[in-house]
Amino acid sequence: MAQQTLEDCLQRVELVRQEIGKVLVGQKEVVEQLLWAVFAGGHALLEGVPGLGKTLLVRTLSQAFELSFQRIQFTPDLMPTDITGTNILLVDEKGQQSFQFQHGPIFAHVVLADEINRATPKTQSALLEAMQERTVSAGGVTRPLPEPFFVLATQNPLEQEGTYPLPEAQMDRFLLKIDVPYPTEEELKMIVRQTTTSQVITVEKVASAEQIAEIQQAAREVLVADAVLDYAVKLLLATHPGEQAIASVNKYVRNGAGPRGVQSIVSLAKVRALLAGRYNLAYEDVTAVALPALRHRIFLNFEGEANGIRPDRVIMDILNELGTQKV
Amino acid sequence: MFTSKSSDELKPLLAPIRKQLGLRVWIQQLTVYGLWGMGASLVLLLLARIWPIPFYQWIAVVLPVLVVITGLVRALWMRPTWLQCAQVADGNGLAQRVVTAWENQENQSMVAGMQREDALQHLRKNLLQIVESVRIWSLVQIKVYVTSSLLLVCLVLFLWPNPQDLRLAQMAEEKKAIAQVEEEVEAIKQDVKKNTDLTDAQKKQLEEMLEQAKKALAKADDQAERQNALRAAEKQLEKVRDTEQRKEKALQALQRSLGNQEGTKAVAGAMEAKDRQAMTEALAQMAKAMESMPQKEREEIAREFASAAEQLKKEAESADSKELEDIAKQLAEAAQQTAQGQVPQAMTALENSLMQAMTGIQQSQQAMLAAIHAAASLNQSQMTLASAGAQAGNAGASGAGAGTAATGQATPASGTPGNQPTAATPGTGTNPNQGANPANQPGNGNNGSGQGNGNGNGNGNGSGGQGSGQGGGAGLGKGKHELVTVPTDRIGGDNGPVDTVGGQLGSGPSQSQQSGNTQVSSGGTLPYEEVYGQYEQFARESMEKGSIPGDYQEIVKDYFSKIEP
Repeated sequence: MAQQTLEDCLQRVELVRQEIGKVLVGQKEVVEQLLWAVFAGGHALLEGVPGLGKTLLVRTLSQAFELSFQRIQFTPDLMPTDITGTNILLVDEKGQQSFQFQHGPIFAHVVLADEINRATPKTQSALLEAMQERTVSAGGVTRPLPEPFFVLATQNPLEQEGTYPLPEAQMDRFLLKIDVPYPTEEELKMIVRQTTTSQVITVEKVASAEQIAEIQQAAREVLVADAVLDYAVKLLLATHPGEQAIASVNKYVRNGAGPRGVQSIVSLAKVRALLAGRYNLAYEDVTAVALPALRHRIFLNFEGEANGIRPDRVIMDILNELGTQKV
Repeated sequence: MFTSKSSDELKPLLAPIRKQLGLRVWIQQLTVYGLWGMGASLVLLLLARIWPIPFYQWIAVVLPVLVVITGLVRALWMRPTWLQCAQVADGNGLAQRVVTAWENQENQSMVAGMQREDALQHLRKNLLQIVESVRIWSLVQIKVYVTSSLLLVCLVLFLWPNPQDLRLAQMAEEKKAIAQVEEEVEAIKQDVKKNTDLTDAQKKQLEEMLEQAKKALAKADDQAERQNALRAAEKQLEKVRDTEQRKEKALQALQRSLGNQEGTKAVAGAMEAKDRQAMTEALAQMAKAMESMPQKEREEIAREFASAAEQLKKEAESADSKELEDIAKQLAEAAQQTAQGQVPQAMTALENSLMQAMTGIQQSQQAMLAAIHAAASLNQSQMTLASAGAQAGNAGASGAGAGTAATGQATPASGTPGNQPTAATPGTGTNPNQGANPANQPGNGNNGSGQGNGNGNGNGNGSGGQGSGQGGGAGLGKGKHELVTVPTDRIGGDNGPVDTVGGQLGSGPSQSQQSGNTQVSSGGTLPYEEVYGQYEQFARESMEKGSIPGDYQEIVKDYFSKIEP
């Protein structure tokens, strides 16, 4: 990676931020985390109450990146083929019949799986298979999905009735889980001002798919010192209950994060380091990505659930404990 | 475009950090180990005030030095690595740039090169701040204060007189005295071994006793046990002496019995003179006379022999002596043969018994002498041990030490004066009053061949306020000679200090020496009152500490009260 390329990439990312900022008020951290997911080549799960701009954010992102965008509203009656597509019977002018594959909405660079937990597990698994394999198999034919390919799923934490929570193994497929917070008072004012006028905001396309791939490649090349890698591994292992685990883990955690957890941490941290203009990972990168990378991978036990403990609190406890053991 | 750059620049940039870190490690180790060393030294100095610890001053000095040296060696071992320096640099906001660059020195990829350049750039920019961030003084400040305080306390303890020093000196003296006593016992043993006048049985018996004494001495844990061991050995030797004495007495009684009769007077004379030739001649004349003698007279002589044999037999039984029993048997045989008129056979039996008796007397005397000598030496050893404590720690206190010894077991003798070397009777030493005689009267037990063997355990207060000395209580004492200087006006004579060797004056043999005035000269350098005060205080302290056995304490008090200025 050349120096000029890095600077160019950083400039481009900054342009993306600006373009998104035109449409989305506040939520800088959410935007940042979403960018990490994009440049790390992973999928993101956004969780937040309705109306916080999750869909808008994803749509704006796809527009800024000059990528194809598809939105799938997940409902209980949604079928897998509604996502992947299916073979349909075609009759030509001569009356001859043939099957033709009708591409589903999954065949897009950015797929927004809105309220993913409302679809049946069967449908969810069709999407998740595509996320993992980045291919779709139908009618005996395997079709690759476009590159880059991101699934940005959303779910509502409040309404649980008639939903199908994602199984643990499927949650693990998401590189990170982004908590979309409620806007601040100031941000709300700006949202109201911006959305209640006749002003039309257009989003410029400032980055191409090739440029995204370039940044992804650069992020993968970021160097990691042994001590930092050790720290990331320790962080992951600390999420597991056991003799050496901290009190809150032993008290509230049923299962800690799997190996994908540390892969997520390092991948995301590399992107963060790169976006910070560094060619190496720092402890601060690891700690910064720990929450989004691990929060959906830590499963609380009954006591944790009953006490309303959130995985974020457990992760913060772990980070505080490990903070003194970094060097 | 970025060009790959050599990593050679990283080390020079890290060098000042390493130097500062190294200095910090040195100072940290120095202060930590210094603290431990001084702490250990302080504990040692405090303990040395509770218990006597040999060479504690040296240890208290050497210990911290050794500990600090260990710390410095450890500091060398713990010299900071380059990676540690890189970590320290990163700790100053460089976000693991330097560590990553250090680990990827050999990485020739473009990214690695750019990362190194980035790390170097940041390092150069922040180097001064990083070096300054390696704090030293604030880390060791408290330790330095504590170490300095400990050093100060140690110095005070060093300079403040330690009462245990006296005890240590005593212990050293005691050790020396024990070694000396062991040497003396061994020397006695060798003397016994070399003594050709003793029978093998006598030698064996004496050697066994001395060996036992030596073993008991080695086993003894304290002064009292050592004294007891020596006393026990001394008592055993006295038993030997008593046994031999009884044997000798019995044979001398036989000699006197023969001397009382006209016919055997010559035989008794030869026996007394230990002259075998004269004995043979006297027996030949006696045989001749007996042949021409009427039967009645022969029977009379035979009755005398039988009576003497009976007496001797009784003595043999009471002394449990086979030797005496043999002599009595032969004498009885001679009596029987004389009564039956078998003069030649009777003379042969008589000659055998008398020759054996003559040899027996000699051997008993030798054994007795050896036992007395050994007992006296052991007695002397007891006093050496007893005085060891009193002599400790006072280089100029030899007079006091000798004084203590002088009031020890000077042995009065009440035996036959030694001017008759063939039959000097050992004293029994039972009368302590005899020891009160002035020691400056010459004893009379060392005449003739010097075989006077007065011995005993009398409580000889040899000074009587007039003199002092040291002796084993034996007339033929081999005790140590130590001078005690007291003013001549207190001695009551003009001859200056007196060194008594041997027992107190009794009727038995003893030996005294009188030193000339020339030996007093060294005592004149200090006023008597001053010297007395020191010695008296020292003796009192020794008594309080139990260094002087209870038996001797009264004597010491008495002695000092008598020589009080």
